[in-house]
Amino acid sequence: MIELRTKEIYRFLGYRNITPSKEVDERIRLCVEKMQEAAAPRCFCRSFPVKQTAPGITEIAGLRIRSRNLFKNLEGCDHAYMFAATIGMGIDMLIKRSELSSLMEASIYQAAGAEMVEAFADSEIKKIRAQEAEKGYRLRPRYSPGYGDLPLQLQTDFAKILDMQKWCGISLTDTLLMVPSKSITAFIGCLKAEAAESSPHRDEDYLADIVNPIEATGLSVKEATGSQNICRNALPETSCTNCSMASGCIYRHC
Amino acid sequence: MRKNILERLGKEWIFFDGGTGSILQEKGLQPGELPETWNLSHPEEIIELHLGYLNAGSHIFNTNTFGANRLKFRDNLDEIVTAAVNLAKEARKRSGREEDAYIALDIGPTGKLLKPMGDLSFDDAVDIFAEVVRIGAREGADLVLIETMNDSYEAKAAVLAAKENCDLPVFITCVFDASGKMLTGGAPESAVAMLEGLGVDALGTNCSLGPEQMIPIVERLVKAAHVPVLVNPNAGLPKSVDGRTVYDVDPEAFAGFMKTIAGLGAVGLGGCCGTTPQHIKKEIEAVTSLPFRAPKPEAHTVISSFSQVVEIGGGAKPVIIGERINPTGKKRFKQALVEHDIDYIVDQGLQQEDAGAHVLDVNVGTPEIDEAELLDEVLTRLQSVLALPLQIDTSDPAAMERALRHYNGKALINSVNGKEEVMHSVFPLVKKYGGVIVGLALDENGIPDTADGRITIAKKIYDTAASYGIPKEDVVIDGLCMTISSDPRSALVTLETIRRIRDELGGNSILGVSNISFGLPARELVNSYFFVMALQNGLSCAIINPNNQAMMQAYRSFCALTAQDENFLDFIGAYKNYKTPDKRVSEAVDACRSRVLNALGISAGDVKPYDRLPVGNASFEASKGEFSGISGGAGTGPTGSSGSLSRDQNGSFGASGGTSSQILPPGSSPTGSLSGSGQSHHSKLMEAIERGMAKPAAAATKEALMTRSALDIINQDLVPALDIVGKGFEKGTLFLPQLLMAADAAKAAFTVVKESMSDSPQESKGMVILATVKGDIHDIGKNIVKVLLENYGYDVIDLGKDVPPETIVETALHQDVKLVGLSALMTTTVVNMEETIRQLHEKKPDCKIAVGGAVMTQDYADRIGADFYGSDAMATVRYADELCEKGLL
Repeated sequence: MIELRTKEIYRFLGYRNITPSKEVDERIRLCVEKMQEAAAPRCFCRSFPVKQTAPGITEIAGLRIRSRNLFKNLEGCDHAYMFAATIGMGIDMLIKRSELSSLMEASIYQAAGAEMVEAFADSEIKKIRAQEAEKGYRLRPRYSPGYGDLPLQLQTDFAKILDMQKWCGISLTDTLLMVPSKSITAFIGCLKAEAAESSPHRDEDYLADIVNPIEATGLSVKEATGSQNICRNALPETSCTNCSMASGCIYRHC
Repeated sequence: MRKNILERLGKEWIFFDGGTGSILQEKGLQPGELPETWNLSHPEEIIELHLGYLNAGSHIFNTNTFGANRLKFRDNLDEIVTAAVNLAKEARKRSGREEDAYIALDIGPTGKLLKPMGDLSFDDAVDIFAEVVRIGAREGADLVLIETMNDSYEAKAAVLAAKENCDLPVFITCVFDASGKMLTGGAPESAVAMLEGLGVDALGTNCSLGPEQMIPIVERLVKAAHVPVLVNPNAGLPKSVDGRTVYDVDPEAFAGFMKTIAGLGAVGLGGCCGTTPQHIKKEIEAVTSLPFRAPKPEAHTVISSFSQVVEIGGGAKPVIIGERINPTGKKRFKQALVEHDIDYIVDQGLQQEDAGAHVLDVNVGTPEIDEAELLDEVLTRLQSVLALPLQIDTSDPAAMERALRHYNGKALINSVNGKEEVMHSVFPLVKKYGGVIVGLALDENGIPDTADGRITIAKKIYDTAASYGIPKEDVVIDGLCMTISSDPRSALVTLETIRRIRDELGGNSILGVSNISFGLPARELVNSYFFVMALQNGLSCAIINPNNQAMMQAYRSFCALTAQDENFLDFIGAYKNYKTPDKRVSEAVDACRSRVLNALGISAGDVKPYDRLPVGNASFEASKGEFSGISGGAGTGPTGSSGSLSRDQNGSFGASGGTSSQILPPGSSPTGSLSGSGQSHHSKLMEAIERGMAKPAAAATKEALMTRSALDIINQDLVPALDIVGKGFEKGTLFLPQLLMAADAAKAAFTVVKESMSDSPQESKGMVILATVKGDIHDIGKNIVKVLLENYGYDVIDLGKDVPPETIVETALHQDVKLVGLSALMTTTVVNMEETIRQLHEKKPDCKIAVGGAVMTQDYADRIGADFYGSDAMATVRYADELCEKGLL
């Protein structure tokens, strides 16, 4: 069972410091009960060496990614996990069914589903944190494609590299949305404990302070979210011509 | 000469190969690199991979085509698959195993999820698989192995594609998690029912779990299956260790578990991710030490949905088939069909599920509509929200085929009969798509009036089905229920037919029970008694209205009496609060009395002093005129003042309960206390809405409709109540869920109002399009706005989520809509919102655009050219009202 924080569910429901009525609490409790039954949490991750070759450029798992936010998030890390987690399709089915019968329940499922996948991801990352601690490493807060200037296009790379469909049952729509909808992908940077301790920053500082790509990049929306900021097959031994982005790639010279 | 694999499978141990991807990674496959590209770039490594397994002793080995489909290889699919088959042939030649090794064309999932949860259509999925099958078969694969299927619907698409595009044997293995479920909810039993219906030659499970965790799933598969069972587990679960993916079950341990699995009745064994030629070699050594023993499957009659099976006959409980999704004699239902109100129809399904139906009959045949189209749509919607198996009910073979093709399971099919022409058009469909077919015991000569005649036709139906390869288990005979009002002996004939189907033919039966009483009064009496008689005579399935209490009482009592309700769970669950007819009658009388009083605007307590009035002992049947003396008599002397006095006291009477309960039962006291606050009856509906109570809101609306017009109720009660809640929300004194509860209650009230107005055209304030823009599937906000707008009297065209700009523009133009609401919840989809706005402004300049969603701000809304930014759901309603007042909608 995944422990859910009621406060977070309230927050996702648009909590405004109003004490929810007993009826609301009772409905939330009933919905969460059904969700616990329907949930099928799965997660998978792989770790890769990280190289930061130039300001704003991060290389990991054969990808060369241009993103100031990711660069900052992984700065000083020598390896990072690519991580995917989901609480399964059962939650989407509950949402779908409740949309017909009760808007109230649909919104609770949405809110509690968001909290559930967050809580599940956190609990899995806790395990990773413990493993890494044994080796003298600390974790940076997880960072997901689509936030700040990190392109959502990276979802396709997560899907391939983690074989997400096989190991988590997560697939992507043509528009790069994950199904089941309550799923998370993220980079999780690992750095030596000494390096972490000497850093003047707190964890929050490694998350994008501006989550909107337009403001994060100062570019147009199209440019900010497009795929020209990712170069695939960026490993030195593989040729750039195989890359599906080869024609428009700004790193073409590589 | 190689024997056909089907001559061997099920008669001796047959071994499959092991992991591919995991071995190629060892050989240097890069993260994210597609393994199938190696067919062209590293052919020798692929041959080596095959040789490893051939030398270990595998009989069946897979081409390196798991992910080969046009979604991943747009330009060179043919080349990739052709190379894969040829490399397999070359490996077989080099290993000297030409005589006893078989090349399986390996087909994995498309990588996309099918609709409705994902965005790939079923028909497109079939096309994608078909392409691969044609190439593989052309190049000389010996069989098709569909594997790692984690969605039953996609599995069906793949099997259909294989069956329609080659004559090779088709094997399939699906992925179940530790709880025995597929990703989309499928169970081993439901998957078996559907896949066997489609005619696969072998089925089983692979991937996901290690061999030990697979054991309970294998047991369930073997128990359910009639074709050989295949098992290809992983070498345990993958873990990331120092950047490498490792598996935790070594060859020795793997072989041990596989021996256990072989002992359970699986006859085709291999491995999946993480297994190596070593694993397979050890497995073969361990399993071949066991004597081969093929399981002997029992015949079952089973239908399924994507996740559930319902067994018919064979000692299972009689099956209840809900009959309500059928337009016959139902005005509101016909209207819903014509208006394309699929939600209403689906809701009928949900109600029947709650009432206890096991299967739902789906019939949408009515003039004015395209039956094939509508049946397909209704069925698709139903199976996206309901887990009950469906009975596809149509006499149109084209509609039947389309529905069967898109049904996610093994359907009950209604129906065929003894007419040659009908049998020859329906049986091929049953054979191709699977299903249990209802055979009506009638033929070219009509309905026989003796049981002998009906049994003869039943035999003919069984025989003809058998000639198409449809076993007797997949036929259920309808003994035909004709009304006793036209032939007093007809029930006896039907009962005899049912009994003889069971006793003489050893078959299963079905009846549309309600027909028996047509033309008689008190039909539920006749129906429920006849129902029990039919059950006692061996009826296996009954098509009834599960919302009818008498029928369900008869059914549950029968099951309790015949030891078919373990621990009486069903019976006790349904009737633990049962009330005797006397009690129900007296409660109904009381409820009715209070309704009448309410409708007349007299609050409950007002009746109390009536007893003390000089006019004396008039009963409740007293005329309206006499009552009006109390309620309307202010200022007319002593009577009037006594009335108003009692009204003031009424609140305390209602609260204390005591004396007033002699006149009104406790059940009606809320009415007393609500209306006792000095407000008239419409406050009751308002209060129900404000407090978010759906059922009371519906009940109050029904009451109000006795004296007031629908429009009056909407304008005086519904909208004002929503306004109060909406203002509370806007001011921040109410929490979103409370607003939504109120909206749900208002929706329940609207449903009642709508039902009452189903004859008259409904007025609308204007039409509004709502959509979540392309790229975004977050639609809760949009749905909230939709319900609120509907509550406030707008017609909403809900285009759903992930909607391309073009669709929105087209709809706006086509329906001449003047207000479009767009929602986006992700920063990345703002771009699509901007594009939608640009196109709308260009092509339909008189259309206003409201935007909202978590990422929106007034600033963004201005920047992308929206006309209005809705900071919350109510804001959009206010904007619509504003436009409406200005006459812009």
